Amino acid sequence: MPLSVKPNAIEQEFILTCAAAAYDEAARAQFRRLAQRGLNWKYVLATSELHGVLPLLRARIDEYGAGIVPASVSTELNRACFANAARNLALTGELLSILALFEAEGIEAVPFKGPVLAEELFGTVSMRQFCDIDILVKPETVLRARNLLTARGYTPEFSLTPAREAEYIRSEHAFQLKRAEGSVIVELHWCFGSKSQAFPLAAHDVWQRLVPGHLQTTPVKTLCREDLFIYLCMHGAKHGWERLEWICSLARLVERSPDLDWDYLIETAYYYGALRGMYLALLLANDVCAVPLPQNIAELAIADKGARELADQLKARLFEQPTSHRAREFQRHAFYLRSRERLVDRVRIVWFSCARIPHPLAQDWDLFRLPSRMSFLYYFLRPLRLFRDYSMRILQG
Amino acid sequence: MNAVEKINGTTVWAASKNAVGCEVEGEMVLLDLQSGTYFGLNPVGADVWNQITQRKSFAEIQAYLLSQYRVTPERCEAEVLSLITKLAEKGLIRNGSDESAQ
Repeated sequence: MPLSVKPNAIEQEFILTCAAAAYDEAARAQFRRLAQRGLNWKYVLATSELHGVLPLLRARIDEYGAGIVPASVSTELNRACFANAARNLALTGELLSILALFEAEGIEAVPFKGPVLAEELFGTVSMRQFCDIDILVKPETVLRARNLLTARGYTPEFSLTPAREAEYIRSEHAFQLKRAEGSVIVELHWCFGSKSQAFPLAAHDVWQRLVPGHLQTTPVKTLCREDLFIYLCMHGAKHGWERLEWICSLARLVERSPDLDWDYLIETAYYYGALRGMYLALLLANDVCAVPLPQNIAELAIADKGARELADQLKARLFEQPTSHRAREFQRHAFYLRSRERLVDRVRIVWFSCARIPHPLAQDWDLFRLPSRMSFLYYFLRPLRLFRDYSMRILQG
Repeated sequence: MNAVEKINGTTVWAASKNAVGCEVEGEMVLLDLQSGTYFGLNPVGADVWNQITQRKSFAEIQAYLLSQYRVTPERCEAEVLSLITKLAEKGLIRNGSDESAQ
């Protein structure tokens, strides 16, 4: 990879070198060459933590950095990784307790991401950075599950009237609950994406395809590899692939799944209008983490011009920080729209983003204080508010 | 009940439901969920823990360590017995054949 003159370019290249999946002699030589160049280690550690790849960085330095990386950097890195492991264990324990609680109450639950993904990909919860617990339950049990969590000390992100709650469950995909004790966040899902995201993975289909797995020594049901792959592709696209760790996790999944049913994946992605998102994810896994792809799959991904453009754009700005929260949100929405190849999905995403009762935390509620019997007017006011906001953004450049 | 009294070659051990663990740099970090206490095991201890999570008997754990490390059978037995005793006393492992101990 040619060096550029951007600030911290060498440090960024070093981080990407550590994130690579395969480590041949050339990669090891690259690692040693960069590590010996007087890196800004403060930037390397801070950026790696931001991108969730501290454990990967530590693993590479452990393997190849002896005598090259300053002792103080290794010490700091080890401290951070042990702290991460400790926190991950606490979250894992809490997840197991919640699963046991749900099971005792007859609520089927599927843990995904977080510790489950870490153990599946790396054999240990310490190799990923995650900050919350994700659990999928069936829609008809979600309120009961939520109530169990509130009895356990969790506080929902917001409270809703029964009518608004029903609307929320129809249009959104998860409740977020927090517990001050232990600083735990639980995302209680009943599907994988909100109506406005047109997420290409139907929860009711996923339930039919669950496979047995383990979390620590506890048997759990988990997503099959193909569903997990689709989920990671679209989750990354939904969030603009902002975190290097997401790319690394997808790359690791591909690397460890030689029997992935690619025909099924392509057929499913085509059906849901998620081919570009899948090709984008594969291009990133290959370009950023050097994961080899089956030749025919690589050719398909490269042939998708839209996916290539998005991948190039993403790689160029991977380490940039948006100037504001709203800039980030705008960037994410635009990126996600472009990752969907079908016009009908883009229209659907825009339509359901605008013509809907606003999310409980949206600013529409403060801007337009309407009595509940007039709430139908939000369907019209929200698109006007969004048009105003994004028009101003475009005018301001 | 003294866990040590029950240890024999065929005793099968299992991780307690309230114990979770993960490897970090070849060492094992364990968390007792009931007490919130963390424990650390060195790489050999990590190997023993991994064997326990696979429900290996005391004899099987010994055999595995003898295949991986240069150690006399007598010392291996003593070290494994010492570690298992401590893990059992901390409530991190249980006799896998005794379901009432869960």
